[in-house]
Amino acid sequence: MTSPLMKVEDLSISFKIEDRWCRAVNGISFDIFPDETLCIVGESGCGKSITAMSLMKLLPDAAQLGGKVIFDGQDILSMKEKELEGIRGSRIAMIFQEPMTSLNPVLTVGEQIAEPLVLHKGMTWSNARSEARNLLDLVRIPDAEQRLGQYPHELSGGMRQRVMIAIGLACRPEILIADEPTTALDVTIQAQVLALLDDIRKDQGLSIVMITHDLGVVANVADRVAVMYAGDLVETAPVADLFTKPSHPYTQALLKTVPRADEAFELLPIEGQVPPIQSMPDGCRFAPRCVEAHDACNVAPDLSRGPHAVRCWARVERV
Amino acid sequence: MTLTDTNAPKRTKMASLLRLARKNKLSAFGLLMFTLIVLASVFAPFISPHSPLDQNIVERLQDRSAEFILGTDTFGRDTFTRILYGLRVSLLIGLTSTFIAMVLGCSLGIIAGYRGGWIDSLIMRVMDMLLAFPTLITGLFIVAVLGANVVNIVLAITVTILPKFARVARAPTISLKEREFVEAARALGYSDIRIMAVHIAPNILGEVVVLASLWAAYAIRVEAYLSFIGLGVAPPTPTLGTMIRDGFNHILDAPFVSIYPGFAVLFVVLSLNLVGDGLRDAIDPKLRD
Repeated sequence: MTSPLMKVEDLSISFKIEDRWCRAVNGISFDIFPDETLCIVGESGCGKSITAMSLMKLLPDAAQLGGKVIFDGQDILSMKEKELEGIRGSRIAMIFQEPMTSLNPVLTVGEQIAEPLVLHKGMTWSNARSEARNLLDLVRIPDAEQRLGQYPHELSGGMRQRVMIAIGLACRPEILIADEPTTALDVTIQAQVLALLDDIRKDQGLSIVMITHDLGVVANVADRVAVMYAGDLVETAPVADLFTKPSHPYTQALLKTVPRADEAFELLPIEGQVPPIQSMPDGCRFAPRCVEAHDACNVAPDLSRGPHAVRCWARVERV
Repeated sequence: MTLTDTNAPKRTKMASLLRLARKNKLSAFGLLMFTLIVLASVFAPFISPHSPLDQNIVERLQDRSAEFILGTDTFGRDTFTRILYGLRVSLLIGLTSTFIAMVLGCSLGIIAGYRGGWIDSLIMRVMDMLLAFPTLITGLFIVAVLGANVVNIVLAITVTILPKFARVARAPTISLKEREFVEAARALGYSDIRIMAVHIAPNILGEVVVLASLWAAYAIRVEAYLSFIGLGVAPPTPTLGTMIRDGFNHILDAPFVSIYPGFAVLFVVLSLNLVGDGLRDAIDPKLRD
């Protein structure tokens, strides 16, 4: 196996709520390999978005970070703002959920795509502009020449998300972090954007970290999947393994909540609620809702080793 | 920092501005009026055969005539000529001070809003202090202490209107910095200064320019006030305020001496206000076409 592009080690993110530090991300570790799509999946509020943000140290000052994010031999979390500015947008790029609001309304599409090229690659504006044109072709926007001079409000949602992708890809990053890039789009556009991302990844040989709560998206694009629950990374596996042999009780329960078209099924909701962040259990955070919970679950389990790793006492002997 | 060296976007921008001018006739009229006023003051020597300074006591306090189209003042100087030259001083002072106040005030406001915390408190408390005094009192104080000349009058007016720009720039900055495109800009590795100057500033430009045109009108009025109470540019240099004051002694027997410069102030202020309204519509890209 090739060596990872980025290693996340024991990452934790805490916020101060009513004078107490609450761990929104509870010591998670995973690797990002070259040339793969890693999906981080989980329900709202499980910490997947802030995990993605922390890969570029893009969190508000109020957040307390622990652990390491090793990229190119350096720990991103201990870098200074100036060094980070050299990496963000240039070697690691990010695209956001809301294409409607992620583009600056008063700058033209051309200016916004050209800006990172001028800043990071030292291109002149006219060179950057012709490169911007190529990028619009790459993300399959017709009439690229004309689009360059338009403002974001003149484009449709899917078009804007393509522009966001073009901006993200402008400097040929090694890692593209996509935070729910298709949530705000309708289903046909979603499929187009996912296909586009997949093609670009194969073309350019970059790694994509896709944050999503949509298991359908996961099945479509992922090479590997990391499942998060309430700030814990509960299971990581190659995508085929995850869908055929889900191991963690949460993953198993989660898959039963997805309607299927190929066989008769019964939708089973997961009983209970995610505990509020102020009163997370000390042990396994899923234990209060887990059908297999037992005494050992009062102590937090570790993530097992190997490509299909799971964090559960009930699976310790099996893996 | 724009791509306007290429032809396509420029043409569409010009075209939509023209279309806007057609739609917004009142603003177009204001712009025309303001342009004419500026041109008239710039080309004053070619327009009027009289000198703004030469006194001619024999012709004093005359009403309109073919030779003196707006009459003469207490020293027999042609009022129309003096208005043209007075506009030069008034426009120079008014526009310069507004421009400086706009640039400085917006920079301070954006920094305060973007950084927050103690920097915000420090900047805005200083602005509050300046705002706490009535603008005229602040202006009077500065001119009285430093002396009445063009530089100090510009300084006085700048200081009095700077806090208004800071406040107007700060409020939208606070909401803009939470918007996703600012987060996206940070994710692209842009520095704070770049984000403030390139990504936030253009977003508040529309509001600021409208405000600037209104405060430019105000600045011209303040210059007139200061001149009116004798703290303006020293005579015999004509300014609109001094001219109004000079005619004040004869307000009953020769009211026209004060009234025509007063109308000049009115027209400048009115045209600037009309232009401001039009600019607001022109700069907001959502209203463009």
